[in-house]
Amino acid sequence: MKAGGWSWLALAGFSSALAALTLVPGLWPWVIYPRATPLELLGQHLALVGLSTLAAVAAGLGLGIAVTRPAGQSFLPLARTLAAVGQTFPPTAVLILMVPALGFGRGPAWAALALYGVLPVFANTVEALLAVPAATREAALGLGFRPAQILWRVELPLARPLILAGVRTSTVVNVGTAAIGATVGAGGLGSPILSGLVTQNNGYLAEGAILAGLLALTLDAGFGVLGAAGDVGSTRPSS
Amino acid sequence: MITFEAVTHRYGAMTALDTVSLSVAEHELCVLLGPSGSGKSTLLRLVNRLLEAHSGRILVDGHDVRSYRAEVLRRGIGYVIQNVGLFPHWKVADNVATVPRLLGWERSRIRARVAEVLDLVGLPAGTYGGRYPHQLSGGEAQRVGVARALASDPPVLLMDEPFSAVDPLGRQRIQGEFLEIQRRLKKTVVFVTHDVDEAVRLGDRIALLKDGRLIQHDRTEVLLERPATPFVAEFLGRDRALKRLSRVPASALARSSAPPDSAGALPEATDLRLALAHFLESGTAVVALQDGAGRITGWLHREDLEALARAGGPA
Repeated sequence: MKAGGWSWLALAGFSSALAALTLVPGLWPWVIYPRATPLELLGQHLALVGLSTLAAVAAGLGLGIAVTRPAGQSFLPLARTLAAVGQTFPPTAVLILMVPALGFGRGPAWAALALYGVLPVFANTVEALLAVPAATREAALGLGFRPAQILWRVELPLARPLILAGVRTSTVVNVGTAAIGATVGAGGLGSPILSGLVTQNNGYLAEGAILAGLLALTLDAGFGVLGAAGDVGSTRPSS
Repeated sequence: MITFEAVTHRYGAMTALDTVSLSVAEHELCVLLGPSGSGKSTLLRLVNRLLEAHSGRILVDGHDVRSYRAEVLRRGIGYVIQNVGLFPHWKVADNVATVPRLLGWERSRIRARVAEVLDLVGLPAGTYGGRYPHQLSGGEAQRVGVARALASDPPVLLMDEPFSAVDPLGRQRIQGEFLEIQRRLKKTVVFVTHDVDEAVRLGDRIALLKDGRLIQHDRTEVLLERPATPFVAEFLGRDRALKRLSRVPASALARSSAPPDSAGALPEATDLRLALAHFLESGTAVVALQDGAGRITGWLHREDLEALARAGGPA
């Protein structure tokens, strides 16, 4: 079976487990967190991860493209250094640092997730665009592509797998970091985990942890499917 | 067809080209030859404005290249580079279709043209059109590069060391094939190389550059016979006489009368350098020349060959 096949299998398995445990609360063999249904918690969590990751991808991709254009090239070394340094910060630290700036609630969690999520997308976008062979770019230019056409038709399609890997990392890490968001009052699957820790209720804790874990695995498998579909050979030149 | 008028180009403080004036006639293959850093590639890249001249003008078909939008100019000029630069995410057919697509040709016309040019370079579209660049050998990839440059049938072709990354045996083959194509299509070609043998084999004319200056520009035979400076003589090599012989087919010196003693036969298209090798090996003074069907068309005498080699030989 091809790699894409395993990804489909994993996606089907993880997503159906996740769906069953959120849509049919009766499946849980122990008493679960009472203040919100699993579905509500998952919804909050997804909104947190989805919105922040979307912003992170837009910013990371945009910045990555900008610093690899001739006009932005002077910022390239600085931007790469900052991205490398930024990724050494633990996501929790970024989250906690947001509180004094933005207060409690969804806002700081959202901002911290977006900020932290930018880094892998940005770093991978830059590396992927720099990895496009010089001869390919030179040929494209010499054959009469406009710079924007080179970006859309040649550079981005070639960079796609690596960029997608960055988005994958960013998303999956954010699923975990978003759970810590409960400590600043962001809601989501972190709520039962936090509550379980405070009241020493392992049932609550396990509920949040299992659902967050399944969500991360589902999204990861989803990107696996996307990545396999994006192998060289499936992209077509547009005219 | 292509005219350089007192063209100067600088990289920072370094003068890469110093008031170079040069004309390439229509249908002519002009080789820009010189050591690395001589400015030959720079000169080529000024034609399709991958670089812009600091002073002087470049005319293609009578029009200043700066009067076009750069993309429009480039789509009208075939371009082949050393590392081929095929688009790795597109099939061979899509690579070849690049410029016709940019020009907005109709789909059916593109498909027909792609098949035609792939045939021309000896890679049938049925077999090769659906392959990806990573599935090609170096020589095949370079042929696709040539096909891509010819796809929209541009009158002008710029070739920047196109065959130098191909192994020696493959290079000779692809040079021969390209000569055949050029004989049929009669493009105006500017061809950059640092390989003297390649220049002598392909060039109708050779422009020899050194340190950004044009040293000599002449028909290839003239350059070999009468190098203008000691540098030209040295760069072309001490075997200039042999190089000259390599450009002349044996049939050019054929006598029609049968000699008393003749040993062996050669195809009449054999060049005189190989014919000389035959004389050296066989020790004979005359060899019969045959056409493709094996009929004897004449006789080549060693003394004629030697006389030709001496005329205009080393000064």
